[in-house]
Amino acid sequence: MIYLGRRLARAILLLVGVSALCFAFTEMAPGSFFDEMRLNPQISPETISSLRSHYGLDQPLLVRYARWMKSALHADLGYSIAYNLPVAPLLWSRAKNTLLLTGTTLFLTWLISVPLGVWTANRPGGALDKAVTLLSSFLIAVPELVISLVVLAVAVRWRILRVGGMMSADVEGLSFWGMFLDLLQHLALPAFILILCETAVIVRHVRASVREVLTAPFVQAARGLGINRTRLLFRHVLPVAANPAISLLGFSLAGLLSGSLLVEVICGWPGLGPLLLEATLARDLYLVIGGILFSALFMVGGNLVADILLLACDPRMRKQGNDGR
Amino acid sequence: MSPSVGVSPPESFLRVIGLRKRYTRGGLWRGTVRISAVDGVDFEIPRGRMLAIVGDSGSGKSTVARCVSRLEKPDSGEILLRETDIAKLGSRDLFPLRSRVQMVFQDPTTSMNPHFTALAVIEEPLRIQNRGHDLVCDGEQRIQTARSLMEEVGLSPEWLARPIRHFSGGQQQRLALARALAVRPQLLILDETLSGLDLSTQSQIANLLVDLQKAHSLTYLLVSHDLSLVSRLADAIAVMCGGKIVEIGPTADVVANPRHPTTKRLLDAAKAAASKLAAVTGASA
Amino acid sequence: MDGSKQDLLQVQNLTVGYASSDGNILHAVDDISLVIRSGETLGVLGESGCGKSSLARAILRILPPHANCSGSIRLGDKNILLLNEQELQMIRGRQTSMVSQDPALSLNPVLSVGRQIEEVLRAHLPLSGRQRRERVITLLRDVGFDQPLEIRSVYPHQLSGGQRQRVAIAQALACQPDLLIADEPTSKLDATSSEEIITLLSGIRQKHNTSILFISHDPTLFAGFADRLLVMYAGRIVESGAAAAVFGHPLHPYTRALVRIARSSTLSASALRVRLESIDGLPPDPAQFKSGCRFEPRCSDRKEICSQRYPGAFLPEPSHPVNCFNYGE
Repeated sequence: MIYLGRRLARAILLLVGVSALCFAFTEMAPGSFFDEMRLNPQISPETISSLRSHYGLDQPLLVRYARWMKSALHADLGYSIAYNLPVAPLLWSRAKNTLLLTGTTLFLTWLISVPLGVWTANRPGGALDKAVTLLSSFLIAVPELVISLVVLAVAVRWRILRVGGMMSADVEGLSFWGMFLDLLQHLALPAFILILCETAVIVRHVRASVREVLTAPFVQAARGLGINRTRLLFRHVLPVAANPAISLLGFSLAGLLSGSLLVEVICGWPGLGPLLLEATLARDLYLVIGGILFSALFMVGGNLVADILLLACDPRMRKQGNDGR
Repeated sequence: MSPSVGVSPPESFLRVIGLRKRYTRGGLWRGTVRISAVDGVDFEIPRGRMLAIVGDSGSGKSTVARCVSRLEKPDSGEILLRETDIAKLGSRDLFPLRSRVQMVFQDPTTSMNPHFTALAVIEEPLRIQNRGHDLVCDGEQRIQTARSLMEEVGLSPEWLARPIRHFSGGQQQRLALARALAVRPQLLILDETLSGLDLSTQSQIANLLVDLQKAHSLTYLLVSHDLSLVSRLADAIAVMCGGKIVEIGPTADVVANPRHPTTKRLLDAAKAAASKLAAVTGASA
Repeated sequence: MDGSKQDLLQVQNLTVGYASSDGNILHAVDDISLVIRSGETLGVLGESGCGKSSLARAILRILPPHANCSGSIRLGDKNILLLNEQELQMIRGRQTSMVSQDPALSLNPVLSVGRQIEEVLRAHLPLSGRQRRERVITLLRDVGFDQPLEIRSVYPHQLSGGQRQRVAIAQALACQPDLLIADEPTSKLDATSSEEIITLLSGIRQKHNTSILFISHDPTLFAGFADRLLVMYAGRIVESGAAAAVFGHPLHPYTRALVRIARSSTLSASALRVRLESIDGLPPDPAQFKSGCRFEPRCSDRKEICSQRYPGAFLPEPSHPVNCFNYGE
């Protein structure tokens, strides 16, 4: 319990640190939102400077940070200069789309990887094992960008799936079921790409950790006591092999908001990624900071969840939190 | 409080005074629990002698070994190597002393990289200390040194290119000794080095240790749980229990006149084993 | 010999070879035959590399996949080498079980002690959950835990080496097997724990009439514990007989050397800094056994014939065969 309290406190400190660094780095980055405006002869310098003070950008860094902190504690993350909308709702509306994509991806990736990893670990050198190793090597070696473009090209060429965006233009007129199907069709492409890339990595990790446990002496000892293979696998091997897999799950959870940026941009999925990209390019200060913090929140949260799971599943971890023998 | 151990040679090589080491558990937001691993230990080893520390698991004997070799920093106390107190030295000052004190561990598979060749393992300390026998040495000299060390520990120099994992347990332990000797140490700390070996291998390594001690005037600190074996090898025995030395003295004294209950218990067990064996083997060759 | 005891385990001409990556075959066990009677404790004395662990694993058929066995191992009326995996599962843990060398490695780190013992019970006996739990408590008490209820929910990393080994023994005895194989159960333990385990095993033998195959490299452990003794060297049995006979007047030079070494390593009040007895040289390379006696290069009593032919079993005393040319031609 206390261990968790410590982790939570550390997590909060981390978030504060991230926000501070964000402020510092965006300050150090060259350029500001108003640079383009300045080049436009139709906008007077007075307008620009009044806009600046309206957004509080003429204040010193620490003051800005303090004010931002204060409002952040009230869940107000400031205003987006480009959209002229409050940051928090804007982020959240996009984040929902991203979470839909990455949540589905996470679920399906692990649904495929775990059985596949366990199976190939159980029958090393078999046909499936070789195929999986080869394919995953290939998918890991080829950059995600290339894979995305190739899949996109194939989908467009052969008109397999709906490409681009999250919903078709005429979606309003359809029934609920129709809308749902339409969503799925749009979701399929980016999800497919992400699942392909992530499964390749995770299946190898799962296989490796299961393999390592299968060759451990205590498994041989259990076998020597007559415990049958199935029970051995599920009740003796997997609980131990779960340990590294849970850490990996934590990473996956942590990347829920941040891992899909590239695919979202390429497939036109209206998620957090493209928003942040635009915001960064436009130097839309508070949007950028809010977005990074949002991602950081998920990252930290994901790791925390992994820690909790680990604590629940592995008694050896609990030793660190107790006065063990 | 504890009598000096050496009998004739007056020169004390290692003196440990009031050694204390605690391990703490817990952290920032709860009461810390301190576990005293070593709670005030004093002993002395004259040059060229062997002191054995015996005790059950958890008695603190391994911690003493780790403190004396400065793998750990003691909380308080003095560790006098000749006249230099090494207890509180920082890592930079410790560096030249590393070649005077070497440690050999119980499990050679975990104390050496199994993928390194024998040559790599033996010459590594030479590289680090950049010393050969008396000179700063280059690659060729290191190989020569390694060859002679292999022979000295009873291994064939032909095997220098073999990876560690291809050697048997006893052979690996010999390699660990060769590695320890590479920098010409004066004090060798043996942490359960003879435990877990086959009987014949154990006796071979034990004899090797005795030979090496004579050849190089080494001083030994041996940590072991095997009182029987230690009674055959060591000049003096210290018995540890609960982080303290409860009895210390020349081997003959400790064996003949044990005072502390722990010593008596260990001795009784050893005697029981000896008499069981004697009874069964009778008057065999 | 007690003729009314039945033969529990009969091993005949067992050979275990490991195929290595460069095509060689390492013969870990080479044409071994032995018999264990019910209620008897058979000791196997030998050092690293003599094949004793391979022998133990062959009896349970838990050798690694690249191992090949030939010969026969009869347990009751079944030949273990001919059984399929399902039949073997019914024997392992039920009629025969094993306790291995390193207790830190032979227990599952994420299952509680009680759970692990229950798993063995669940695999073989049709007991209800409550009966299983009760049996676990009885077993934990039998192996020497004063507070079985507490120990039951403890995890292996919270126990000492000796305690873990006792848990492993509890697992092995859960279904009251006829034969218990103990493969160097005390070599990773300190002297005190080691003695406790031996005492425990002796007690088990008396209480349940379990046969024990006890493997070790330390002659001291067999004293007063083993009924009969086999001495193994380089994959073969070089001497066998009643423990009292083998220890009382060891015949084979290797046995004699081991006994000498053991005696020279025991407690002494006066013999300080005397060199320990030892055997020169190293065991032979299992990939390249030469013809002739395998101990010959290290033997102080060797003759010319020793390097030419492998000595058969001679009987200078009844029931005490020895494979050495010093006792025959």
